[in-house]
Amino acid sequence: MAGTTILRFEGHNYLRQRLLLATLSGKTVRIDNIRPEDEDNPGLTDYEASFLRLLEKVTNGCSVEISYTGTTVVYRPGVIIGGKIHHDCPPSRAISYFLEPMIALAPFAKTPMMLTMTGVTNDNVDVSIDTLRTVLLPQLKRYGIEDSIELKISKRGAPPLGGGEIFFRSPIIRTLKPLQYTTEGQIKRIRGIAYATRVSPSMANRTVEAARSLLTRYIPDVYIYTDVYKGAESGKSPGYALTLVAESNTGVLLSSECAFQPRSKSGSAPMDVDQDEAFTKSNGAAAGQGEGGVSSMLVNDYSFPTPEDLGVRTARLLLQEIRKGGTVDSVSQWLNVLFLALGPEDVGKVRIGNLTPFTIQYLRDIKSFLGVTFKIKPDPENRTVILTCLGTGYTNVNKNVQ
Amino acid sequence: LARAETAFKTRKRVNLMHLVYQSEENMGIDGGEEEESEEDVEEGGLFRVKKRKVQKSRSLALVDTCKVEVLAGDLVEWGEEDNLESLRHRFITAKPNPENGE
Repeated sequence: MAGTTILRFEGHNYLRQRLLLATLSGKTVRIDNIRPEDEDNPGLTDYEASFLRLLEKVTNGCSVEISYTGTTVVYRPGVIIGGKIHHDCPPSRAISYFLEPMIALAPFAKTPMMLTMTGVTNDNVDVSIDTLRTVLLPQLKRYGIEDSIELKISKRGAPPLGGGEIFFRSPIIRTLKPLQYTTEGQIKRIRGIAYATRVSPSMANRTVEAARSLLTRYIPDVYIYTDVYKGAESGKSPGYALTLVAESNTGVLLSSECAFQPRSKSGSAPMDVDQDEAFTKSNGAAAGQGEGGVSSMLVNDYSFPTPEDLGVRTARLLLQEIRKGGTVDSVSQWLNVLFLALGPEDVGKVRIGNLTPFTIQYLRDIKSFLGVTFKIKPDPENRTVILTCLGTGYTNVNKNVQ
Repeated sequence: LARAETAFKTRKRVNLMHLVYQSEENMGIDGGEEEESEEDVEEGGLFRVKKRKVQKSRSLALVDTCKVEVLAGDLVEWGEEDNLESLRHRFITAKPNPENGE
């Protein structure tokens, strides 16, 4: 693992995927110019530092060097060990920000990962825990990761204070299975989860009703669970959100989600020194009374006047996603692209609706770390894109051979 | 016609591959940060004061997340019957019950 080559990158964006790919490939990475222009809070943010600490916990023998100003990080990965880990995520990002890379990392650990995390479970910046559980995890089965995979939401945590808790367990595997998955099929059912915490349970019910009435025109099999949390399980802030998943007869999962987010500035008050307050500062005028952190980067207003509005918005987002098509929805593109590249030395193929900017950069970073170039071919028939690649035959060297 | 179609396809493929792997600098994702002009002002000879870049645009593309925000305005079209109907073929119930008013 003593890599002599150092991969260099610039900028704070895409930090997670670069660190993840570095860990998987065993390559040392150096990232410069992390917010050098930011006078108030240059360098790493609290959540980025927290993510680095999480990486230190799940690996053995890694080294992280951060420059005095925090604008440069040198990360030399160690061995992925997994095991029992507890991590408190800062409320500036949702738990998913930290969990997503762990889902990709855990199958290649030495021992099965059992991860408990606390923090925000649903917001509009990151993917919600519900989507990870109902959309991302089932997709792992296609790659041969199936037994004893689990994601439990024991407590809900709405922004800004969070207070949610999740438990994630992943099995370990030696190699991934190849995947060729391009048949979209037709949508046979729609499922969903509406949660409410520290608000009236009717908020969740009203959200569900509005979304249902829009979706049942297509298909009668629409079932949306309502999940109301009480007492100790309800986290520190009030909130409600809706997640919808459409499933096709070929097993395609397409999702949409939306969370309620109050507009008031009182929300950010209890948060102590918010690292990326600068975002708010520079956007303050435009964002109105935006709360601190990355949520000020959101363009839409998520302070819905009624829960029905949230329900309709989410249902429409689902229709939008259905129209895009593909066998993989926008929020799970990155995982599929990554696992195809790590897959066996065989042709892997998926169909996607359209490339998101995040996935485009992921493809580039995969090329720099793993040397895999994807063939990207649009299918004019239904305006989807087919991604094809030859896997690298990545093997989990940490797993003991029985 | 078939030839034109393949020609069109191949051209488009090249474009997408090119977009992803070659044109790293001029991608739309970094657009927001480069908007402001950055000028060095001479001050007393020794030091240069760098004008602060003002980040104007707001977009999830500038944040490390796989989520893409769909603008609320782009969803308005789903209020129209024609658009809603155009999606019906994607559902397994495409034929059995054509009339199913809201």
